[in-house]
Amino acid sequence: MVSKQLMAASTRPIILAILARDEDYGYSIIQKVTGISGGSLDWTDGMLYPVLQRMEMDGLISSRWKASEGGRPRRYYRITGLGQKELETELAGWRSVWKALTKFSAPLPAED
Amino acid sequence: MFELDKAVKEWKLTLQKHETLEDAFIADLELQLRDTFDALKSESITDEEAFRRAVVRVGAPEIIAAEYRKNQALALDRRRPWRPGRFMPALGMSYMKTAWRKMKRQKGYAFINVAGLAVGLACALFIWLWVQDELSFDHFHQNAPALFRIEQDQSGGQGTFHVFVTQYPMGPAIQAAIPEIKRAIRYQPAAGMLIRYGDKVFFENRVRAVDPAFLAAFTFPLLRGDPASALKELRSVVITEDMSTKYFGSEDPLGKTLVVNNTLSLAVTGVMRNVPANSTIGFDMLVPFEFLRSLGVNIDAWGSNNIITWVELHDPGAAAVVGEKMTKFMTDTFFESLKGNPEALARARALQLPRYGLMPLTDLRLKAVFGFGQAIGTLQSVKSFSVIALLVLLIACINFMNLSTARAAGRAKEVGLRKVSGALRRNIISQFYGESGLTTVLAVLAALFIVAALRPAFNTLAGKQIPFGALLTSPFLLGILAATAVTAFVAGSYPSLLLSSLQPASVFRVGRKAGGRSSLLRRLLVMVQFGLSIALLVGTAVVYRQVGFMQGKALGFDREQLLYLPLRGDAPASYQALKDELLRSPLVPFVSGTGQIPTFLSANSWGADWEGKDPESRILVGTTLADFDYPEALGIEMAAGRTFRREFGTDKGGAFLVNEEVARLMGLRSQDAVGKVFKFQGVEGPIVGVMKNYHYKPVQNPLEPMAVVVVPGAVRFAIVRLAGGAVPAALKQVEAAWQKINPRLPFEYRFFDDDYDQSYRDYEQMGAILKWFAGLAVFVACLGLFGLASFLAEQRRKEVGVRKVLGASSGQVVVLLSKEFTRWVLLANLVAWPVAYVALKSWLQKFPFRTSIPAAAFFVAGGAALVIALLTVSGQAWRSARKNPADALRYE
Repeated sequence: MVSKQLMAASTRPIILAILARDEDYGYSIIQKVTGISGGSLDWTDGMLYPVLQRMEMDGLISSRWKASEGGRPRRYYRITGLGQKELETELAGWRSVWKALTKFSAPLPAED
Repeated sequence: MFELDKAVKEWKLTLQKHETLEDAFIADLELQLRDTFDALKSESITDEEAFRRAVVRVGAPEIIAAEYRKNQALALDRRRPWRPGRFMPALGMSYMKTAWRKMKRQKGYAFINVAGLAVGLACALFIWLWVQDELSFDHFHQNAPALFRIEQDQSGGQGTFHVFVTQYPMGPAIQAAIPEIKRAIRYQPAAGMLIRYGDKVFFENRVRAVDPAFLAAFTFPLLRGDPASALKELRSVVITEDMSTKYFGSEDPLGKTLVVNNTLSLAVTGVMRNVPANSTIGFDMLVPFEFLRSLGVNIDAWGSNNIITWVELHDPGAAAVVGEKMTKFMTDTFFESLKGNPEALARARALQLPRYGLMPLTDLRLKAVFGFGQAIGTLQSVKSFSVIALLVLLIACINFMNLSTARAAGRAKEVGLRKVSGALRRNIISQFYGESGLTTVLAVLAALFIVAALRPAFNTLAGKQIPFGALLTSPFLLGILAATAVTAFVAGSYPSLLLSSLQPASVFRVGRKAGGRSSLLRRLLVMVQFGLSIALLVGTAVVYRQVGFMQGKALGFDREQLLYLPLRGDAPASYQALKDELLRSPLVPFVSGTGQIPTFLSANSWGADWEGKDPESRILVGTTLADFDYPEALGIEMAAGRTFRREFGTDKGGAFLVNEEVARLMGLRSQDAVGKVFKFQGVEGPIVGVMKNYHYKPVQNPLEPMAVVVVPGAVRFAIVRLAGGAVPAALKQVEAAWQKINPRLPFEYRFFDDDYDQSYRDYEQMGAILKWFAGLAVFVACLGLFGLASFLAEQRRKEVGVRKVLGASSGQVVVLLSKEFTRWVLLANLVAWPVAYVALKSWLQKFPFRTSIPAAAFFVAGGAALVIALLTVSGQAWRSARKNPADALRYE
């Protein structure tokens, strides 16, 4: 189970990372997150949408309505240039966090 | 049975309770719900259960709504504050609408504003037309800049005497000698001729003898005939359209013959368009200059200055150089002529000879000078009228400013509201400029209407012939535009700057009285208005006084019942017979005559000499050739000596009568001058008498020394004194005598006093114009005062109500409300008097004989202004004083 704080911090980078691959819509994003994390990242579905709106306000992503094959229209989001940059910064941040965390949580090497 | 759509609808209703969940967000959530539902449905649960789970998965509306609210707050936070756009046409419409509504609601003020401005503008436009007309004089000639009149400064003991006549042969001589001169044109201005065509016979005073090049140099286009050859033939004449109609009616005049003085025939070779009203050169007929020979004029004689000479230069810039060259040429020519006489040459070399110069044709109207520096141009009038026009306009603008600022109180809330709604200062400024612009445009339209309607009346008043077309010329239209812009700017500036500076907070605070601090300025402006009006009133009074002074001045002779008959054609030959015939009537006690028009003896000459005169000093003395009985006929009093008598043989052509000025110049008392030998104009003889100074020219001309010699053969004007009372009967007898002696000549006469009075007409006209403008200035000022007074009375309604309740009488209230203005109108006098005094003093300077500026004029003008102002104000005051105080106080 992922903590609430970590969830809050990771939501935006994860969305950016998903959208960096291809444009996508809300339901599908949630499906992907849930599927990939095996349920450990359990978002309240409705909470995704205010986040997307906020990211759009910040200029990280843009959206457009698109009719899908099933007949139901969907709002597709895609990452912007600004969003790409943001993603890189985030990734760098996460990597250094991960590096620090793995380094310090590894068993202490025997002292010579 | 579970219905998905119904369930979704109910679910959406719970979402819609949250304000921040906009429809678009709900749509997002609905899609999410439906997708989740579809995904859950495949498992082995009921639809109802699947829907319930999906709803749970989407989440609690409160929490989602709270997230959206955060975003919304952030968005609001990030938004840049609102600024008004630079260009908002809708706002302009709002300004117009506000202005229009204000006008409709306060018709009185609007009327005063527009009417006052319109009257002021109309004055300004009229004067602009007048000035434009004055400035347009002689500019219609195509090569006007290259045309000049030769003038000369003659110096002598009394100072420099400026004349614009020249010697007969000067023109051709300088044209040959000075290469800068393209052509010189001789022009003989005065030649009264008797012209006959068939049985039509008239005296023509405006026949001019000119060199043929006249038609090429000046732009007086011919309707018929060829300008190049029209005046080539010795016996040719070019006439104007009017003359053509007068003599030939509808006949074709070309080739027809006019008979001059019953002896000489002239063939009409050209018909010219009438000379424009704005030409200083005026004539009805042109004859070749050489034709003067046929009339017995020696046009080859040097010696006296008789004609005008015009020159056209290749380069107008060379005027000064040409002047120098002319002076040198004329001096050399003069010395050359004296070569045989070394003594005379030596004397001539000691003299200061005339200096020649060129006066641009286009300056003649405005800047002409004659005599001892007497300005006869209209420049002064142009200047003073322009100033007056601006003053009247200023008064009208002040009205506008005053009323607008006074009403600022009423507009303050509007301004406050506009500011609160986001208007910047510049928006308010442009709003009020726009308002003054709108008012001005209305006023300009009204003014144009007034000008168009009153143009004929103004023409009569000003003695002009300004055509309607003058209103449509581009300088005039530009002038209107300029006047509109300036007026809108001046009139709108104060209100717009004042009102735009108001702080909304203080406007809406209860008890605040807006516009209060401008009241001092308002009063100052009222003071300026009345100051200007008073100055104009004083000016009018003094101009009229001067005219009255000139009309009433004792001339030194009896001008009543005195007339003169011009002797034209062959009439001079029979002068003696006419005189004898006239004297037969008991109603004609005296007949005499002069060589020049007796109401304007202008001929004069240098070279008077007498015993004991300083030989170095040159004196200019008037020369009058007259008949016996000249002083008797005019009724001139003698200061010393006697008049001419037939019994003294030398009195005819060998003796002088002089005026007191001559005696003064000689440095003698009148009685001592009698008997002295005087030499002048080739006559040497004793001074037999000294006449008291008399005005041989209208009074605006200076009295100069004058000598009279008896030469009956030179008489061209017979002077006839009529005996008391029976003027019509006497005139009949004069006419009968004329018909008997000169049956072929029309009888023509003029009264002395008519001539004198006519010469004052220009000043009377000026007085009349001034009277109108002063009247209008007062009217406009009062209009403004009326508006202001009624506004202030309105403002003090409650105060008046309280005073009345506490026992003030209506009279006291009127005094209260009028006191204020009285003080300022009285103060206005302090400003107006010195200004008017200085201006009038300088105007009067140009009159050698002038009236004083009476103190009474100031008091009367000031008093009149005060009375008019009081009537204006107290009418309003009375109305508000009479109101029932209950009405004023009831709503409290």
